[in-house]
Amino acid sequence: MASPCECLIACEDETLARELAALAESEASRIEQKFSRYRQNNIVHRINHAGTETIRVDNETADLLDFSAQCYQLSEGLFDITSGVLREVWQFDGSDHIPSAAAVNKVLKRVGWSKLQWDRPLLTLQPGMQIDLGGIGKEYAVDQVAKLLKQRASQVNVLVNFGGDLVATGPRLNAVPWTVGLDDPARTGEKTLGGVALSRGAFATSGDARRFLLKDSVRYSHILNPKTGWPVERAPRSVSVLSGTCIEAGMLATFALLQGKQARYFLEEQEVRFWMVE
Amino acid sequence: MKSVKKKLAFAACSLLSHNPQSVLASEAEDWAVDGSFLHYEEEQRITVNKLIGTLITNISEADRVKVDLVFDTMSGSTPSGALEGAGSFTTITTPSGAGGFSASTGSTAVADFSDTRLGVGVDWEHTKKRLYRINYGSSISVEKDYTSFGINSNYAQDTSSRIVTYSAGVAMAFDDVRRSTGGTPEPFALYGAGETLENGTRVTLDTIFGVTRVFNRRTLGQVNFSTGLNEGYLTDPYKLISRTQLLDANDPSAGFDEKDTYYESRPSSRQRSSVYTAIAHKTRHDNVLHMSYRYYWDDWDIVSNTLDFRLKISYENNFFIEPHLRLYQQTAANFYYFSLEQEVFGPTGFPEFGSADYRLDQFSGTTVGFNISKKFSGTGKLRMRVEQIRWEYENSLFDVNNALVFQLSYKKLFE
Repeated sequence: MASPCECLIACEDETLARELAALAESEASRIEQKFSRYRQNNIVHRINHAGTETIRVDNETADLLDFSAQCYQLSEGLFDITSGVLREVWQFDGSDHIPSAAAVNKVLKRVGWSKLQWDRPLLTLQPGMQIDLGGIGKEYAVDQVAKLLKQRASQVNVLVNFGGDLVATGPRLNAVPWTVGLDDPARTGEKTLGGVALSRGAFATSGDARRFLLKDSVRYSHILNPKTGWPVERAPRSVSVLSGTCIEAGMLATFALLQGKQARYFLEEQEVRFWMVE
Repeated sequence: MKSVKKKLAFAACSLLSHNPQSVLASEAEDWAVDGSFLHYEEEQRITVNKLIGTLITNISEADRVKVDLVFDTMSGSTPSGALEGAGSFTTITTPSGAGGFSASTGSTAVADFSDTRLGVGVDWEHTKKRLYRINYGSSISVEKDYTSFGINSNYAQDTSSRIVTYSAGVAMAFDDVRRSTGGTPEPFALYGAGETLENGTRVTLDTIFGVTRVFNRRTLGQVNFSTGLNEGYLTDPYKLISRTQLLDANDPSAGFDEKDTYYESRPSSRQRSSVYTAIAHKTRHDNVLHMSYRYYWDDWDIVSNTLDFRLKISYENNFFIEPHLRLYQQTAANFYYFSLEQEVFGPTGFPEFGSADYRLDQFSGTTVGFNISKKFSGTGKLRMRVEQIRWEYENSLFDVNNALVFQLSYKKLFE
């Protein structure tokens, strides 16, 4: 998952805790191996290297693609798992390397969920298109691991935290809530924006203050609008959302970033608890 | 884009194939208020009623400020050290409010008093990278016959493994001591005579060094060493000491005759040290056993031992009962005398220092009590404490004292 992963288990039975931890680890690495675009010999690699050939996908992948399609619709095209190819022209390394409009437009032709054919379980891409489930994968893994542990030991509550996206299935022993600090992206690891006593629910944070481009005093965020191919203007540096499931919280945070300066308004509309750093 | 939350939640549920999950969370408390009432009552002696208010607020992630307000009313009577009229001491007069000695019994063996105290304390704690904490505190306490101003600072550092915490602290206090009518009596002057000297002032300096270590998930141990110094007026301006003469020099049990009564006199410095060790262990049933032992010694030759046991038993529904036992025992100060015996000091002689304050006598104390607490929905906590204390003095006019402590507190956390 390219980030620290932890699983806190509220349980006094050490044998059971170890068993649950092992289960969490194997499920997390299963999901990573299956959906990471940095790995070969997995379904995402197969899809992205199939050219225009139609691929039949398994049920779990199909569920994630269905979910991606719904997110594309709900975000009115702003959340798009085919937008990853824009990274060919945008490298967010803190430099002033801004691509030309022509270069962006050329890549943009290969972007757009509506351009591919998805007829469950059959997926067909256009030439040069790619999918990237990185925007969903980590949150999905968090919820999936929590669900699995709950199925294995329903009386044990856990907090699953993969790189800051987390879910709690219930309070700790003696009904004590978990305390979750919200990292301040400006002073990461040193300062928090506040804390939440979480008995049940999920947190996800989107945004990354350290990934941007700077040219002529304009700060280009790494959040790209898949409709224009250009960075979203005035996107918040970071958005954290509290919701029922991690994937839901993660999507709301991502949708908010894509709204740019409308992010706060968008989050207020959703009537969720959120923390935003502009 | 309007609200998408419901549709998204629905999509997430079908992806994860489980029922919608609701959120149960509250933001970590930004501030807490603790209000407490304490009633302390000694059998036929002192009664103290205390109101304590504490406000704790996190002014930032790394900074916490605590403000304490204490208001006490104290009344009753306390042994003065004198023996005069001791034989006729059968009743205690009501508080005079004047802070003088009881006139109605004609006895100087007990001193009536009535006072109020207002105390304010402010403490600021700063945490950095969750590895070290530094705090600065200051306090002011005002009574009719006593004013104190104190400052302190503590530093605690965790090792990177967080298994060991080292701490060091320093505290200073500046006190002004006087009788409620002003000034202090001339040491060893005849009671009721002598000059009234100016207010007594003293400075207290204390340092503490500690190590706390986590032994395992359930056990924590602590060792502290502290040493301190008092300099200045350490005498009690109300305490007296009587001169006595045996009725029969060959038979002390025959009794004594009271002679004159004087104001007491104590050294102007006191050097104190103590070692404190504690261990806390959480049992498999989430009960917490806390044991501590303190060894104290000073250059007045007082040596004391304190043993303390507490067992916090958890019941369902955030309900706790904590029985408490404390055993205390000390030796007498090297200038403690039951009286100035004429056989030792002659009809007019004095030792270098002399006090008949029962608190400087050899004595033992036993505290038995319990705490009951109940947490409400994570943000409120009600606590009741009841304790019975019994002291037995080796060589004082009043050889036994009993006290009852009752405290009711409510703490509330706010988001």
